[in-house]
Amino acid sequence: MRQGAEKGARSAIEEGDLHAFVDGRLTGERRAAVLAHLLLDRQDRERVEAYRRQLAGLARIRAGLDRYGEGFAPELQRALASRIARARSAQRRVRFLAAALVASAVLALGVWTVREVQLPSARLVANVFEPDFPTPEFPFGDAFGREDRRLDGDRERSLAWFASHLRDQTLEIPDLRELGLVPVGGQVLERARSPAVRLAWSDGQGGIIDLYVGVVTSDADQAFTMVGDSRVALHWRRGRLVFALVGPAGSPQLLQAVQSVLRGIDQPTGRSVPAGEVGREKEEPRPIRAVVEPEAKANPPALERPTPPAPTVEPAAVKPTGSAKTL
Amino acid sequence: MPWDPKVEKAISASISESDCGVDRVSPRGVDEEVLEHVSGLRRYALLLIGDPDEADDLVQETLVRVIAQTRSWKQVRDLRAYLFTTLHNVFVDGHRRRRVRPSEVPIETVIADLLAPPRQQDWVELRDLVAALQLLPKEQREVVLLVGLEGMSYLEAANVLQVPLGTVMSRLSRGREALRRLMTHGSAARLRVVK
Repeated sequence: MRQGAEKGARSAIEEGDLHAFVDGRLTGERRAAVLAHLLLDRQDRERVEAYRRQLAGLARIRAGLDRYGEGFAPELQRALASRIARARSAQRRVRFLAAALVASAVLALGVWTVREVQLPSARLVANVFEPDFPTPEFPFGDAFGREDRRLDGDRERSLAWFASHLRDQTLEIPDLRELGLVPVGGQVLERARSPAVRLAWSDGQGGIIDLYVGVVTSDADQAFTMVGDSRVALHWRRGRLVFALVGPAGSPQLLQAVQSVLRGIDQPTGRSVPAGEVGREKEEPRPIRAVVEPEAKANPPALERPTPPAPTVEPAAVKPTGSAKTL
Repeated sequence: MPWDPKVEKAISASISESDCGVDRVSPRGVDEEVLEHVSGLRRYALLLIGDPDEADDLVQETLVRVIAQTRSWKQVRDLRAYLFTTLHNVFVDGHRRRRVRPSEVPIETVIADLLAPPRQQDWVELRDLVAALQLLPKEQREVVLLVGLEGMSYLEAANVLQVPLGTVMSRLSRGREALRRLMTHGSAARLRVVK
């Protein structure tokens, strides 16, 4: 019996197990099996003891030469330290960008909530600093170019025009007042390659956060783009809608703004309005109604927009959601 | 120690880069880390080659190569593995170029001078271990030292030596067994040490 048990135990233990045991890399049942084997196999037990003495000797040498590099080639050590520090700094920057991308992807799972939008109607001018940067394949054309752009205060008409291109997707204009962001205007992007608008909020401290929304007809790259030294652009896509949120790089509201924006996006439902209903578009309740402030009604801003192109195939889908303002 | 022009070039290039880089001052933690790595490289090289001067040349050439490899740094994930892999490659290249000459001072004596004086019994064992290590084939000595001296996992050792994990295991097994025989039976066992 004993012989049988010994033979069985030995056959289960391999040479690699003995070395893993010596090196302390076995745990649990495997370690117990090796211990049981060593109790029975004197030859292996002696080997393991010898290997352990070898390890103890090497550990003694290691401990004695723990700071063996001290004073050795100091110039090279300084150069290596500098190299390591720079490499890690670069890695940290890459990790930050990756983390921001992941965060925006997680936020993209946000659900749709409906909110009233209070839009100022006064005509405002925002000077937005957006230096040149390589624009990815994006429907906004050169909308990110370096120039001062005038924002139209009448966002309702801009958005209505934009809505005519949305077809079966809806878009909620986010209410960012909880983040301390005040809407300052909207704009149809005339030079965009496809229907697109720009909405802008001010943080009250001179910072502007822009939301670019476009409709794509083909795949567009999503990218995370640094805009100059101080501004950052978060790009993402949801269905046929493409977004770019541009704001100060250190703004704590930026990612929260992304979240708010994403809550306002509904996935395509597959519904579409028949082409015959195009002409009745104005008669139906608009899914978005920008609330125009009283003074704005008395003095409506001039619009410098091109005549919105008539939808050629399918008009905007109607998706009433209570008091929601949706496109 | 011979001063290679490559050393000066690498250092000056590194310093000029760091002057315009983001990290002009390396944190103290990095200096300590570098010391730790260099200590590891130096003691590994010493026991691997058995000649202090040759070992220091090997470490110096390794550091120069690492500092000069600008592009490779982007892929560095494990700095220690990167340093030891480079040292291994430099060692293999150098091994092909030159014949390792016997050290003027026995490695056992070098180690004895470096270490605090152990008890007589311990010292005998250490001396036998160091002497036996020098008799191992290079491939086995590398694995025994990476795992036993530097505490690397088998996978780390496999990555450093750029060999399969199974090769590391078999070299470790044969190396330890050869060491045991050498230390047990002395010179009579030398003839039995095979790759």
